[in-house]
Amino acid sequence: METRLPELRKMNKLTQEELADLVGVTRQTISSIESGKYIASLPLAYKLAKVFNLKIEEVFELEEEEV
Amino acid sequence: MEKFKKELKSRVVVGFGFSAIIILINIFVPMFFETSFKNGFVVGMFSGVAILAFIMAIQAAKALKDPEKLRKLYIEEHDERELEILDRAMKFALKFTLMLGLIATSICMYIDTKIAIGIIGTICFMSLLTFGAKVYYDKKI
Repeated sequence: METRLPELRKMNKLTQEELADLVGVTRQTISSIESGKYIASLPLAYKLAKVFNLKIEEVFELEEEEV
Repeated sequence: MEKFKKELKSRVVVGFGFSAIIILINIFVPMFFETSFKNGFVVGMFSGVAILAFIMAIQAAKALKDPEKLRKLYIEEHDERELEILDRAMKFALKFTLMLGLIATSICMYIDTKIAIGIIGTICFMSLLTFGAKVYYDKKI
């Protein structure tokens, strides 16, 4: 799973802590999603996309072998 | 969040209530029963649980008074990654315990049959419980 989360977060001048607070998770969860260690659940992916006013597929993208 | 507040309130009641009962047992049991290693062990075991329950009750009571602490505790306890880590850790621990139990049973069978039967009984109970939980969640999810 590829994500544009770090890029979007920086564009919106948000820290991992602030983004975590906005979606109700810990900073470590955001960090793990950004590094690709953890795949966000559908509700969390939705909340994250909503923070940036984007669609889920604009924030997350499945890699070729996952499709 | 309201559901979590209710959960914390019951945690406070249960935590303080259980601690109070254990304190009373610690005071009165030595008065009416002979002090022995067995009694001391059981009371000590429950005292350990009571200390944990007391700490959790204090944490819950503090969170109920402070909205910021409440929010942080909610995130801490409901963070999906933390829950998945806990889930995976418990699955691993269960498999490891079952494997270790089987090895221990095989060794104990040559040393003390009663202990071996005790361990295999525990393994069977844990397996049945896991199967029961699987059937329950199969229907629920």
